[in-house]
Amino acid sequence: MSNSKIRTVFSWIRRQWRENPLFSTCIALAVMVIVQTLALGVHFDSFGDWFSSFCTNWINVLRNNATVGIISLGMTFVLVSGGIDLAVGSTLCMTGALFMLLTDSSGHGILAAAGIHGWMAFAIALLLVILACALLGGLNGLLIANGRIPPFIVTLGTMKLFRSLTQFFMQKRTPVFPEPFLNFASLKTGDFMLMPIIYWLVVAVLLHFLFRKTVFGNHVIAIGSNEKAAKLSGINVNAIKRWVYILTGCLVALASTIQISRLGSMDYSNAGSGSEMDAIASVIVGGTRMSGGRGSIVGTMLGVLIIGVMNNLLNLMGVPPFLREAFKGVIVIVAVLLQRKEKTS
Amino acid sequence: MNIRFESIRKAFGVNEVLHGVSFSIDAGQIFALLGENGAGKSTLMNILGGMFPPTEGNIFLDGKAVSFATPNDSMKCGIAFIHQELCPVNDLTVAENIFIGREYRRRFGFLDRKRMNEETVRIFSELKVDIKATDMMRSLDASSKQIVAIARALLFKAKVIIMDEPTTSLTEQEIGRLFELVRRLAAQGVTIIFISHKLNEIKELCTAYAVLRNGSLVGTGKISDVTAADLSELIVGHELAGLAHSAFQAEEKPIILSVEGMSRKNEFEKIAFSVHAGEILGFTGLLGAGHSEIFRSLFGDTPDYSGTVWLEGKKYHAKSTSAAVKAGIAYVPSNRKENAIVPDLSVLTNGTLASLSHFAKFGFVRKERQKAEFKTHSDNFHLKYSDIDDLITTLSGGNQQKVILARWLGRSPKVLVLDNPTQGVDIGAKQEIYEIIRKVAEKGVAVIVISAEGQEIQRLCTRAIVMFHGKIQGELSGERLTEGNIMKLATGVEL
Repeated sequence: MSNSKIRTVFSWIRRQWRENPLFSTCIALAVMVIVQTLALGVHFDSFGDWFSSFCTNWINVLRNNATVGIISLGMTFVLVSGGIDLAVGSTLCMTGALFMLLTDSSGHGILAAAGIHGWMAFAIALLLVILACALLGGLNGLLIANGRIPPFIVTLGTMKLFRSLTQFFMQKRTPVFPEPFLNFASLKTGDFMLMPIIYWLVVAVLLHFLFRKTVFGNHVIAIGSNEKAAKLSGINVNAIKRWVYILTGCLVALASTIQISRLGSMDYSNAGSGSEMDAIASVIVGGTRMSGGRGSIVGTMLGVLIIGVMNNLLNLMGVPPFLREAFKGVIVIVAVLLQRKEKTS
Repeated sequence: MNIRFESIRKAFGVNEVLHGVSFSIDAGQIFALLGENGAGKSTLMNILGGMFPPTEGNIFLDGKAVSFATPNDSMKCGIAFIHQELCPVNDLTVAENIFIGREYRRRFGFLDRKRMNEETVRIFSELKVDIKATDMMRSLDASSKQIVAIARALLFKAKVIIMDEPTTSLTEQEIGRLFELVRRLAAQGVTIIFISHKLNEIKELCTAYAVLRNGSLVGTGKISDVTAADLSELIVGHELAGLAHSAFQAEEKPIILSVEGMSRKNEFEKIAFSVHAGEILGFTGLLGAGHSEIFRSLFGDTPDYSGTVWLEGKKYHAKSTSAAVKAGIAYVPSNRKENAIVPDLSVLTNGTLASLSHFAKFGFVRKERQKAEFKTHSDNFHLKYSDIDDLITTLSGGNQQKVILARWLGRSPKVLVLDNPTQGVDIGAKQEIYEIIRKVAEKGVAVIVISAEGQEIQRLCTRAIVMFHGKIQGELSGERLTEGNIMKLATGVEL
């Protein structure tokens, strides 16, 4: 009796392992979390202390990954459509610069000069910045879709362009951001700074539905899976591609706002550099196919968490920072090896 | 080299495509291998070329039984297969292309360019052709590329050269040049197996023939003993009677689509025709005759053409596929796997891909409506699937094609263009697809069927336009719409 039950459970696991691409990702995350919990558990004796440190640690993990998490959500759409966006990090940096030009409270801000202060200034700045990022993303999309240049090349170019321009115009300027700005992400709920996590989760839920339930989501999959067939079905392939990069631009604007708000400043030479690769790594670990057509928002969330938890774990174990990137590299390769269960026909 | 096939059988799974074929080819012959698409020519040649072994039967070369496990084995026995689609490396020189994979080397693996160039010059002078060894492959015209492929074969001591439709992309002049070379090689004792659909060419060039139909040999002998018409009859078999519905009276129905003076460079020239509501118009010709390309242009995939098109009396020129779809044109492309199937989407989404926004509210697809719409079509089509949310790739070819048809019928098009609609579909599904097409036409849709199979055109269409080298060669309807007449027009014969 119990024997046959075990057998059913085993066959269920085997079927999931074979058929559900997210199953192995879930297992990987579960293993990570168990090891992480053990690593954390060593230091404490009483359950109350242990639990509160467990929660604090998790909130830290989630909050630290909210920025790259939001970018990864956009990157999921880009990769599923068969493209790639290397410019997200530079766009993030440029957004920071724009924000500063608009809201700098040390007297140079454009909005402050126009007599707009406080929440109003922040709201206007946020809208303008999202619009600007949409334009930057739109530029990528336009060159890729209408200019017929491979996405890798277009975004490699704009990556250099955006960062270099930002660095040139922002040298020697240290912004002071106004109060409401800092509240955007740093507002505390009880003892915890939860806002970045909330933004991330809300965006994830919205994008999950956008991906799974809408015409747009279906068209993105169709383009990534078989662009020729999508075109010959009357889908406006170019328009969909442009929208994908615009969407990513908007998400980068949000990520940038959260990051500035948390840190209170921005380092224009380094901000966001490498975040494009972190985002791509998370999306790939989450089971999205590099060549397009397959992927999921849930998978990307798992992917971000796997890398986030791993970073946290290495931190807890005292692995030096320079070595952590090596682990990240290994985990990306291992993840893709495990996922290679697709039939090659 | 003398080749003898002895009761060659080949089955793929349960599907037998060659039913015991036996004939022989003498050394130094230019041997025509004839038959319709799917008759088994390619399978037989692939067996000879070592792509796969026969299920039963033997091949004898100069009386010795041989068996090839790989293309390399076949090459070693002196057999060279020049495929229809040449794959030259355009960024290398002629000599480098000839030696690719078998390069002469010097010490430390460096290329011995000098020796390769010398050998190439030697073989070209033997062949009396004027191609420079150091030219880039890119700069050569289509016939020179063929000749380079032949030179490669000869350099590696080929005694049998299989040429699969070598003339489809060549001009008259280039064909002449190729034929001259082929004749010279035959005179030197090289055996040429020549696959072509162009009967005039065969009569002009070849010395002997074999005709395959549905996997069996139906005739073999000397070319001088037969006429082109005899060959055509052998290829096609018995003339099938036209269908009852060919009594269709086009004149009574309104014209839906009409085309005048439509041209596109290197593809088609001065095309003029019109289609009535409820009509099934066939478009046919040999591969590359331009009949597919016309409709790719009309559908906005290659929208830069000249000429005028009217759709329901209004001028029409779609600049994109989405514009064409909005105007009411539906297009089922050929090569389903490449051009129609979205492998990562479900049966349901694939079957409604062209009309997703019809079921959407604020961009969200309302699945119940989507399912209901899809089911009205799929039930009519006897579509077999286990779950509507399964990936489309889990279905058989025929069922996949029905899903693609459903994709378009959901948009209630005015014009339905089907390019090779029964490609890779078994006989049962073929009948069902014909039925679906007829029903669509009965509802008043103007249907255009593009097919290279004369039989399909004859059975399905009320009228057929046959193309040759980018131009309309003739139009057939009623009793004149026979497979034989289609074949004649398609090979450039005037009726």
